[in-house]
Amino acid sequence: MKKNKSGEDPLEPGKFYILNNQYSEAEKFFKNYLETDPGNPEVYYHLGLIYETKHEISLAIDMYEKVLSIQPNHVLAKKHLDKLVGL
Amino acid sequence: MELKKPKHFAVIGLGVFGANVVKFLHELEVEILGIDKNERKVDEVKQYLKLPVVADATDQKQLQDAGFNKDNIDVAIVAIGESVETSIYVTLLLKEIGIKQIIARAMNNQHAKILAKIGVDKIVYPESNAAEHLARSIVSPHILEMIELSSEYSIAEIVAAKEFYKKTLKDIAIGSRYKVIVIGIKRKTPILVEETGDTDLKEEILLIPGSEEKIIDGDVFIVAGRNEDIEKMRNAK
Repeated sequence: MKKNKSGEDPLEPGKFYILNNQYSEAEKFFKNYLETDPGNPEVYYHLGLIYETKHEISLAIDMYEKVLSIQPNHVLAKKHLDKLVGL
Repeated sequence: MELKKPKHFAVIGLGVFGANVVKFLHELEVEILGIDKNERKVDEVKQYLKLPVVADATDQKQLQDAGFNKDNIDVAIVAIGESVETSIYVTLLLKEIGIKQIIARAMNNQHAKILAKIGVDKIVYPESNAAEHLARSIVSPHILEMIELSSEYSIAEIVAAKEFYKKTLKDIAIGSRYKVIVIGIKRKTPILVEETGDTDLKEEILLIPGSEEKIIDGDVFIVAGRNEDIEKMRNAK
């Protein structure tokens, strides 16, 4: 988990929305975050989780593939992608 | 009487289909012997195999040397997909060796007929099943799976429509509205992994959910009912 200079996880609000099943708000947060940090694999990973939960499977696959193109050893993205492709 | 669960499986042919069978069997915690004459294919799934074997399954001696006998293998799955002749020949060898249960992949109707005549216990049609799945996912994207119980009745997995979000099963009154029975709800719940701080999803099934259960975004109903009623329910927005 990456933290900013003040020791906080900048993705925390988005994660909070996900954990509280507020997927539209979470999606908005992570998409906005991409504008400031477009190469952050964690943002794509969380978007993948949101789409997977909402059964938007092809979008979820796109997101997990994006994570792995940036960080090939991302264990969780690999796990989710394998499961979705296996479907 | 309790049925004895088969524990020792063999998968012959480790192409895409065979490799996936191996992975799913591995999740069921059974012992798998995997055989293919292509070393690279064996290497790709060897972490899931109790016994990875590079050998020619059309050679009876090589099969027996690899441990194929009626005492070692409960179920053999012939997953060969490149040649109908090879698939039939290997299946015959397995019958001759005395393997108790043989499941074979059929590539077309003729192939399936021959496999049935040889006495294969179960024939699977992965291409046909995948085609059916694809067709259904296009025509009925909200129906994830459907198991026919008879020509009239099925069990289906249906993604909950938006109009149901945040409502209880009692509010939705599925039983009287659609004449189907909700036997379960599949839900992917976001969780925080304490050790790493990562966000992940936990999949759970609520069997026979109570009437006060609230539907959330992404829930999938497992319903049983008449096909026409299931179809009506999938049209809910």
